Amino acid sequence: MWQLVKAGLRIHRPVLTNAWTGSVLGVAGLFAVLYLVGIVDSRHALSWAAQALPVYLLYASAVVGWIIIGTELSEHRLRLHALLPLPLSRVALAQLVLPATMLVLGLPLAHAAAAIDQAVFGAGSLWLGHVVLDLMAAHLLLLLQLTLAVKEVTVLRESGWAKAALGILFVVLVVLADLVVGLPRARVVLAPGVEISVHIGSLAVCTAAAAALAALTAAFTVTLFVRRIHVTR
Amino acid sequence: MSDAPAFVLQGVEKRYPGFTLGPLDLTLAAGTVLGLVGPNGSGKTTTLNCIAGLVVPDAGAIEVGGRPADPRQGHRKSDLGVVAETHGFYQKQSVEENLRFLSRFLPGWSERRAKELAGRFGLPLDKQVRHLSKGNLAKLALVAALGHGPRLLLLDEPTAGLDPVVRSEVLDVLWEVLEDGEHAMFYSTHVLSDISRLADELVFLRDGRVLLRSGKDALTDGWRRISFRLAERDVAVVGAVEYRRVRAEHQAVTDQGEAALGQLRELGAEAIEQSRMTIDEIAVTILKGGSHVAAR
Repeated sequence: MWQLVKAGLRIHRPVLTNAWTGSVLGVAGLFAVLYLVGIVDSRHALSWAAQALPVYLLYASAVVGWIIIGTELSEHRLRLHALLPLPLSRVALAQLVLPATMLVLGLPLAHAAAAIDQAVFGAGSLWLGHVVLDLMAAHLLLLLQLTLAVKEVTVLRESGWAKAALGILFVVLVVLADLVVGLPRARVVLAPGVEISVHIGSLAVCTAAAAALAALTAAFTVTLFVRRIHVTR
Repeated sequence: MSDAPAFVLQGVEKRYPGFTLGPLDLTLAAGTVLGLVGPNGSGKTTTLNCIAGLVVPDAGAIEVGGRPADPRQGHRKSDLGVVAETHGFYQKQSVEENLRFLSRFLPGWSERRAKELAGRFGLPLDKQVRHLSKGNLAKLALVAALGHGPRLLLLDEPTAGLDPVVRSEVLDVLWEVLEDGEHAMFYSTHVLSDISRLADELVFLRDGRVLLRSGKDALTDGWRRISFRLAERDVAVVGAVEYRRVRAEHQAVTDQGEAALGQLRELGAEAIEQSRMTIDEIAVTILKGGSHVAAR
């Protein structure tokens, strides 16, 4: 499995580095324009750009994850991997781990950017702390895993609508669960007069909950994958 | 070399809405070539995918190289080489990088052999896969399938869409691969001239069912088109697959040429003319005849 992930990393690395470079240049360019048109002064432009950068790096890493999912699908990679002498469960895991790895690589970079920002502009200037970055990363990870789960549910449709409906139900329940426990203060209106209101408060707990839901979704996807009736796409 | 059959299919069935493959019983002896002939939608690709472990059958058992084939396990796939329409290569990587990727996973991969084949085909190693022509893509698929010297080659229309020169090159390489007698090949195609060059036996498939399995020589030796003149009544020609009569002029296609000729001479038929049939003609007759041929 790791061999597949390593090979994928080697192949998709240029996309990740391009995305990071694009984030840095994009943020710098955006605030340079804001400064040039006079919306912000030079001090604020620099400060805001520095504060936004960690989030942009995180988003860029997640977007690369989705690009990988799309590329692997459009190039029928499964067809190539399924013919390698590897158990299907490892092929499935590699499919999940590779896009997630982009995020895992982007997170320390985002933290580093946040730390530099903190060091230069002071702790008070930081509107997004390290804990918030972790929470965002956990949610992006969950979204990546949900994308792959939805793909498997789409394949499951060929085994019958009842099974596919159960798969869709799982995805909906995970999304609802994330809305409830993945945010520090949540109020989900299910229907008029029916609502769930939860106040967790701790960002760390919410991060752990979102990460746990991502792991659960990944396990669900692998289970569906190894039960597939075909691995031709 | 193992004496176990390259693969055994026992009662294999795969059901799709509006189409059922099988039940199929097929065996491919080690070191032999079996050609799979059938029209579009007859189940050729599904059959190959079942053997390759890409499709899980609804019923039946599959053995590859003497071992039960579990599509969820990967170990047996190191003995398989598969060429199909969809390959899954990394489009933005070069040919060489794609081959290097495979070399990391396939035990027995020979870089020398892969490069030799690529050179033989004139495959540009430094070119990105997305810029390859259809012919070069087919060549890459073949190099990828042969690079680890698999015992069983599953080829799903490997020469489809190739020009005659490239097709000839591909067939030459396959012919050389078969020379050592250690490789078995299951080859599906519409181009019957390819099969007639390579295959020891042919299987005719239609609507998911085997109509006929026969040795190539038995087909070409046995099948005849015969015309003769006899009384104005129908004649039950031995082995007749097709028969028609206009007054005293009779025409028949039979798969037992010699026996039919003997029968007609005994009956006193006149102006007997016979011609051997090409594999193409035989295939068309069998596939058009469908259940009629299968029932005989």
